[in-house]
Amino acid sequence: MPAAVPFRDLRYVRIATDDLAEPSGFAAETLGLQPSGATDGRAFFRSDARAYSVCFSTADETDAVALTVATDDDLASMSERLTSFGIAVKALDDADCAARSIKKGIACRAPNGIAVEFVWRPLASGWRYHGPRDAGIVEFSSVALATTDVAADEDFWTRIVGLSVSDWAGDAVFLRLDDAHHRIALYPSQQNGLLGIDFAVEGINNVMQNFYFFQGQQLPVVHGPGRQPTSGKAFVTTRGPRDLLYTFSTGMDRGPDLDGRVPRQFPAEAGSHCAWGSPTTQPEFLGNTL
Amino acid sequence: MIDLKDVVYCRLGTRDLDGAEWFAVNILGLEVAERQRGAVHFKSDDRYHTLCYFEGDPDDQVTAFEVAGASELQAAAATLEDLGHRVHAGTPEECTSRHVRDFIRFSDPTGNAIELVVRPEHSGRRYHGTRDAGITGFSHVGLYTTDPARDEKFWTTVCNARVSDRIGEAPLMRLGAIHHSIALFPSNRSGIQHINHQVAATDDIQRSLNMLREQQVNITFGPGRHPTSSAQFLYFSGPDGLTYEYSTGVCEIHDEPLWRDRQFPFEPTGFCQWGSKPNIPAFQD
Repeated sequence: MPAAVPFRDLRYVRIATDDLAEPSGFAAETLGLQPSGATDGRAFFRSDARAYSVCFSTADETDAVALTVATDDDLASMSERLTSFGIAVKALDDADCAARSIKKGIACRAPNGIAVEFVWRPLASGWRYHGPRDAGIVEFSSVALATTDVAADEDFWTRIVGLSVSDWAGDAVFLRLDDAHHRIALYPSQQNGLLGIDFAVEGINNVMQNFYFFQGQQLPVVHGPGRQPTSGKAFVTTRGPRDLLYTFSTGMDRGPDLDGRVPRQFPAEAGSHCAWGSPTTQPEFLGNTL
Repeated sequence: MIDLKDVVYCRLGTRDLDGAEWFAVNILGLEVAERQRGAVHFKSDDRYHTLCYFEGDPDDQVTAFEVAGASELQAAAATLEDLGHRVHAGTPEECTSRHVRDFIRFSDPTGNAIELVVRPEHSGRRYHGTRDAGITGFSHVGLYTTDPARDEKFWTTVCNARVSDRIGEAPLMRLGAIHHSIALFPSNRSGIQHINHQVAATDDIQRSLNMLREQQVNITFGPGRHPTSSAQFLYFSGPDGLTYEYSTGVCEIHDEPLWRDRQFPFEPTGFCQWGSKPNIPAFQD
């Protein structure tokens, strides 16, 4: 069995939708993402140097997250590795790759049903990101996944895909693939699939400005302003189309210190999801055993 | 010129001393330094006390500043009397109860009661509140003014305050390097508009926000960030309607000769760069 391969980044998230207008308006006007084209039932949005980090799709596809590999060989190794664990792997054809702005890729399913795509040579943009409003976004930071069987998903992402656990909060798992505390977070839930998307912003000023922006727009503040005791990031979260959670955050722990550190276990309680005590009714952030 | 070193304490009259003490300890997070007959002293830093609530009229509010020594205090008294201020010399009993070596009391042109004190006591014991509010110390006071131009002139020419910035007509004035130790807010009355305690970090501001909400304390402004001093802040209501503020990250002015006071608008953007809006009459048109 080939060893797990190193990943370069969490590349993009694709979100299935019935129509493009509502999520596109939300992405641009509320989140401040930069529209970067719409073709064949897909609308693309930029948050950083990537050609896109968010794709809304009406093309009858499932929600997906993508990880970038370094080489063509890594793609082959990963395909073989997944197959050896009995996971069905599909090579993306030319049309699939063109639609994703990648050179080459493979796709499989995580236990919670989300599509996981491993991609090689995803397109970057030579033009810097410039959103329609100054939300302070610097990077597509992480995704939160909901799962009814967190053990199965943790096993998939760690033992099979090869990510590292940074910390646990109750049974919620924070998974690392580069020098950041987490790029993928798994939350025990009564639902399966994509829970939310997190964009890093420049600093605490942007988190708080976005908090007041949400209030001014009469958008729900689902969680925060708060600070994750696990990752250290200050955050504020609202709810968008399809009830997905959208977060602006800053100050996530990152750096070589995280490597080799023993993952910490935080208690299964709301205080493990916010050190400031911000109120939330979102069950995944209450820490209760579900 | 009266050389004020720092703001050292506030004294606040109250008709409900027990209630005020409960608030100061359980909500604000101060530590009781000493209980006297009809007065409670509170500690917030290395000083013996920085706040005193006493049984009396809630309009009876005093702000105290330290001067260097006995001769400076005598000179200050003479200066003030020359300007027509009535000056009260502290009695030995009053000095003892304030834990200062000597003091005088007078009123600024608006009528704010001011004490100038010599050798206020420090204590070797550090502050340790019953709740972890993260307080690092009493830092500044906002005073009402009935004529900001006149009072700014008093504080900057009779005393040594320097204007760091202005929000509308309201001057924020420094005594040392800290961006402001005194602020004057236009009103039709005299008295203390708000009392500031510094806290250690953003976490302390934000944790207190949620704690104060749970305790149903009236949050009047924030969490926010002042574009003037760069401090993150939270304002809330205390006993007798007085406003308290926590803040962190106030900037210091070390390039004194190069600093130019800036003018900010007297509207929410002049008070907060995050977008919070004050529900404090003195901060509203």
